[in-house]
Amino acid sequence: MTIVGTRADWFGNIRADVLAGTVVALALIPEAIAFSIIAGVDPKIGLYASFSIAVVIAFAGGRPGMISAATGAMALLMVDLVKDHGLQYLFAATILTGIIQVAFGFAGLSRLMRFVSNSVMTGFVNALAILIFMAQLPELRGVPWVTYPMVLAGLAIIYILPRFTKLLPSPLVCIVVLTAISMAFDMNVRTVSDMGELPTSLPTFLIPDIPWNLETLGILLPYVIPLAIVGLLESLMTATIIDDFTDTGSNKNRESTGQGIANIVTGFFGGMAGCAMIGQSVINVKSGGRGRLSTLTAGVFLLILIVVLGDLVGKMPMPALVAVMIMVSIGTFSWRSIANLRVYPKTSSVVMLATVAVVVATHNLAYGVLVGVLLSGIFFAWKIGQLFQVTSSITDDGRIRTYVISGQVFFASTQSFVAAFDFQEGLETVVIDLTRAHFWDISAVSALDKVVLKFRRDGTAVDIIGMNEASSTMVDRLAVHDKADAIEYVPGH
Amino acid sequence: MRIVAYIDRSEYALSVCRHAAWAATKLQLPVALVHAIQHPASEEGRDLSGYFAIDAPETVLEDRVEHDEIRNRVILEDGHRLLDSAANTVRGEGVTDVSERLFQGTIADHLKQHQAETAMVIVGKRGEATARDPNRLGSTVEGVVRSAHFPVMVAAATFEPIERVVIAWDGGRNVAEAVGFISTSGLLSGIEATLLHVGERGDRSEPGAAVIHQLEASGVSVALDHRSGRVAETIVQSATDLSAQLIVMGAFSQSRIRHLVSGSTTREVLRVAACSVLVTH
Repeated sequence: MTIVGTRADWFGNIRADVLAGTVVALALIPEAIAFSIIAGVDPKIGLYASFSIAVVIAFAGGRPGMISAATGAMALLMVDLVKDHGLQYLFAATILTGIIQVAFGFAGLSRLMRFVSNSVMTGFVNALAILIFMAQLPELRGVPWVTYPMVLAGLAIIYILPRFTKLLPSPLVCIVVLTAISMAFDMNVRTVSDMGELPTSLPTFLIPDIPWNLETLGILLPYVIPLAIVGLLESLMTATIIDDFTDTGSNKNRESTGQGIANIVTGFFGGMAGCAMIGQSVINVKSGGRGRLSTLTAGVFLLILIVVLGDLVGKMPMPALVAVMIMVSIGTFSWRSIANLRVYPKTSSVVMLATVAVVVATHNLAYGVLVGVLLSGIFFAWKIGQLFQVTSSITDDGRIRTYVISGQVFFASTQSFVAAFDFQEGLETVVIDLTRAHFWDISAVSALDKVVLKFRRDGTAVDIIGMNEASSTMVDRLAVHDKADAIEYVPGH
Repeated sequence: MRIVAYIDRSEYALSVCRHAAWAATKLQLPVALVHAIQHPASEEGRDLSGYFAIDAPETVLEDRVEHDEIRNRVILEDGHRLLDSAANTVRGEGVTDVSERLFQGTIADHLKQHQAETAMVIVGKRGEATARDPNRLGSTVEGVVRSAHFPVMVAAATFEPIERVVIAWDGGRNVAEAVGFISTSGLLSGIEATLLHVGERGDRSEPGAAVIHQLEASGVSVALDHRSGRVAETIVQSATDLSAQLIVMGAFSQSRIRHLVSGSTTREVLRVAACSVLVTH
């Protein structure tokens, strides 16, 4: 593999890639504008970002055919930064996000994705959908009445059109039709140009105008770390989905560094941080896009459209964008997960709901994922802790009892481990058979220690047999009960 | 299910073993011999005040463990030897299924933990602590009789082959249970029993013909006797007159208030009787 990908990655599928890329570019316009509005920046920031990220990721990404651009998940994380500190800090944050992502990629941290369970992913996606929907509510409050019929009309077009034709992306048709109507009747609704500046030229290289000191870093880090994590999470999740869709593999570490490089470049060209887009990537693949060319086409064609059609884009009515975003939100939400609440194990549902709840409460997808991952870890430990059984038998003369331990002994099961022993029996010898047990951690070892000491203290001899290799190495290294010299060091005072 | 016999180092141990063997033979159940011990509290070997050292808690603990281990090992070994000789006694009486258990804790604890598999309990009238005072009832015994949910046989100091039995009938639910237990288990088959009714002939607490039939059906030969007087005294006197080896009665059946005023009949019988007493619930 070369730095920018193999020949097949680029030119294996030229015709279909160019067509799919064009469709994606059209579908990207409304979303890029809408996500800029969510983040509280001019539409041109999102449009430049989408162009720049798509183009760079076409070369640097690890998953050919996946579309990356300005996204809602990332936009939601930067709202406060933009509000409190301004645009220059957003560019700096974008660059820093990229640097962290590159580091993640080189450190091979994409392996950590395995700890993000299905339930956390579902929770993530649902929370994202809820946040995107909530971000539309300000556009629906205190606006002229004509907004509501327009939003409804937009939704109707988006949902009904695909039943008749799939030649054009229905969100684009929605926008074109509603723009035409609002221009024709000179309707009293807000337009995209009301929301801020649109691009009139190619983006130019710039260096963020901020003080380059530790204080700035302190401001940026609380935003940058969630941005980096969420960007990678969504990108790697999307990559997995596209892998399944196309039945091909991808290089997750390369995708991580690729996302980082894309964000660094984007920051220097005046764009906002972005990541892979589930919806657009699926549109691309379904339209036949497979290679890197499709992603590049999407980015380049997006910029051409914007620069050429700049005036028209400015006339887009906001209700049309709101309709598109509501569609994005409904399409993102995993509706099946609600039906699954009744079928899935309670612990999985709790993980999913906790992820959603934390995200909606904090407006930070990273916190939700963290809570979800921790909860799934705890639940897993709890479940494995049940895989533990103690049986015992005693000789008729009441002198020797043999305990047979089987299963997993670790921090979550040490309590039941200790509770399984009857310390009130006055035994001469107790035999603890660990042949079928696994000792995993220090807690397990110290629990065994506790048991042994308790028996010994009553005058009962303890015989531990059948430690398997794994447990035996742990006990040899950590336990105190079998080290006679531990008591030799008792200095007087 | 099994018969649980509690033994200790008092003079009652031998008697408890032989009562257990008798009951095991009658009921065809295994015997579990239990000796409850309590380790003396860990005494401080030396002054540890102001003791500072690296890892002090661990080393002191190790030290204590070592110390207790040596001392308690001897206590355990003694206990096992006591149980071994008790088991030999029971086996000598022809019972084959005998198990030994040394229990670290009180008899009451042991009872509580093993209720489910206990058919009957045998315990000496007095333990090591009260053996020397012939007028006192062992506190353990009273606790066992009070808390048990199964028949408790309180053994006299010596075992005599059981041939004559007084069944103290007060018309209460507990003594009816006792008759039920005797007739279903066959514990007293082939034995002469006097069904003693303390009170006037014809009063409400008099045993009916059904009770006598029930007992006779299980192989007990029954004679009915009416006596009047203070209940506990009359029961014990009757047992002495008939030279009975066993009194059967219901446990502490009186109301709480009467118990406070007059003391419990069962308790009184247990205290005064020279023979063994089987108390049921």
